Amino acid sequence: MLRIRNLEKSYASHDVLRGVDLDISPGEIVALLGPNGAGKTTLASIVAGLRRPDSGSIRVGDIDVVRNAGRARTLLGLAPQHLGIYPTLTARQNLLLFGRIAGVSGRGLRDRIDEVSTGLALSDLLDRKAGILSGGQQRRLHTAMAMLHRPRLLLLDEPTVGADVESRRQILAFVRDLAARGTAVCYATHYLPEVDDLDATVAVLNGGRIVYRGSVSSLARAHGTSGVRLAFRGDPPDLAGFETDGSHAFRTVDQPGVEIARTLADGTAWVSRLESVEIIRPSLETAYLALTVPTTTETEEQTHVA
Amino acid sequence: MSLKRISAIFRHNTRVLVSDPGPIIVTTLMPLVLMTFLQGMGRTVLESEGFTGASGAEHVVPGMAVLFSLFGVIHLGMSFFQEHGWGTWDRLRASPASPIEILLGKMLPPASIILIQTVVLFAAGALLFDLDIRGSVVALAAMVLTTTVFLIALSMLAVALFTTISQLSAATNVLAMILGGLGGALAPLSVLPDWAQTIAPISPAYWSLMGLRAVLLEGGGMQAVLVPVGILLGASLVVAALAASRFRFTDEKAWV
Ligand SMILES: Nc1ncnc2c1ncn2[C@@H]1O[C@H](COP(=O)(O)OP(=O)(O)O)[C@@H](O)[C@H]1O
Ligand SMILES: [Mg+2]
Repeated sequence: MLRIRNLEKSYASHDVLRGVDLDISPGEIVALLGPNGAGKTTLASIVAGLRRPDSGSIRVGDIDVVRNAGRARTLLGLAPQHLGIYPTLTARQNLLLFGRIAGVSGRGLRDRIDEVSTGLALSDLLDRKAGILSGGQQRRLHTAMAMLHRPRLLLLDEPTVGADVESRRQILAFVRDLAARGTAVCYATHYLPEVDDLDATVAVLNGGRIVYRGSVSSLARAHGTSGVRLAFRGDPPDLAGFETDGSHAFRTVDQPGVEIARTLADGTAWVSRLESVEIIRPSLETAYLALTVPTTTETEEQTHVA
Repeated sequence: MSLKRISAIFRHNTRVLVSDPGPIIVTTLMPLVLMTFLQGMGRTVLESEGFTGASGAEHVVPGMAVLFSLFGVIHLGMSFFQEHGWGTWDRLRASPASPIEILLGKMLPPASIILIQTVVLFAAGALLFDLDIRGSVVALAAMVLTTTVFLIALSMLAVALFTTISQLSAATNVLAMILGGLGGALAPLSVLPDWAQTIAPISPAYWSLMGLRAVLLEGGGMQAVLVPVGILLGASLVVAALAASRFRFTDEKAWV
């Protein structure tokens, strides 16, 4: 449904995307992961036709997004990263606009609003002004506005930011539902637990490229690291090879059991302050952290800014 | 271009305008208040110009209508800045609506507000201020419409040039006063300082009022308004071309 090849985009002299390739099939949910500033929003905006790429090709279905933006937009739905709702109008009026623009009207539109608002638990809120809804309710409305026309490609840019636990659960469940009915979903997030909840495959964006594309389990196997984490009462002692973070000390090792035995054997001075010992298994989280260590250029840029 | 989509955006923007009617009420009520206070002055000046039996409404009604139509540029501009402030501009752009459909759907409701406001002022003029329309109503309508067309173009230029709503509102207020005053919307042209009378034709309000007075005071028909109508349409084209060359759908605007 989405096919991106060698996409490049820079702002002024800052190269954000440096050759992105990404495919999403109908019915597939892809969690687009990457640290802040990785270019997730830039990527979604380019696919939605809001920004022009410097080079590369993007097809939605069999339509070229750059050459035929108008037609491509009829196939896709975008919920941008920043909340976009009309606060002085009711939730229903917000939904009506985007349904009508997409050519849904009359009975069909009422049915669609019904379906989307049931799925996102908005049914009882439809006649309230959007501006007075709670943060989580606004997020759900914001997300619903992207779905009225049953887009074949849905771009959700951090849709659960600012949503409460219940709203988050509802959004994730509805997205899974849409995908089950054939929508291709690109779900940008840096919140890893959502990936499992979505049953998504993963694309990790870092340093301007997709550095990993595949399933969560093979990602953990390929890039996950194991390690040892010790928690202390008070500051952690100075342990060779460990990094400290607050009251924790952490070390990446292939054989955590051996490392624990070796470290504890030397631990007479501090063992009374030891609160917990934890073996970290390769996981999405450790794999993600290993893949998204800042690239040299980013480190340089950050020094520049500082 | 799809009429359905334009009408969807039009209806939506009409709702947005009506959902927050404060600014519209202000630009409709203020001129009514001012007309009440300024009518006597209008009568005196018109009589000194030789229009015996004038009620003064022949000056204050078109004067205030034109002045507050100029202030109406703010309604058109707001309509765009609001979208940016609400985060909905990118949503519209990512929707199947094309740029031209978005522009039409968004500009027509506030432009209609300017028209309705003008009609209300003329109706109030006739009912409450003894306004006597001596000439052709069609010619009057032609003047009002071309003035509105010019203001749509001017609004688009304002939206293209300014990046914050405070710039827009400051510029609109100052410019409306200057262009309106210079064109004779406050005090009639005949009592303006000499220098102001000399440069008055650079103000579009001058041409609007020239046409409106020709109809109201001199009983003119279409013939009498051809020159101001032509000049306003020409000016609209120039301003619209400028706006088009500067307007970028991708520009960021701030609601501050
Ligand atoms: N309009 C813009 N002009 C200049 N730089 C931008 C613009 N938008 C984003 N950037 C920069 O591009 C990089 C990627 O941003 P973004 O796509 O928002 O990342 P993400 O969504 O992954 O956090 C950031 O360094 C950001 O500062
Ligand atoms: Mg982002």
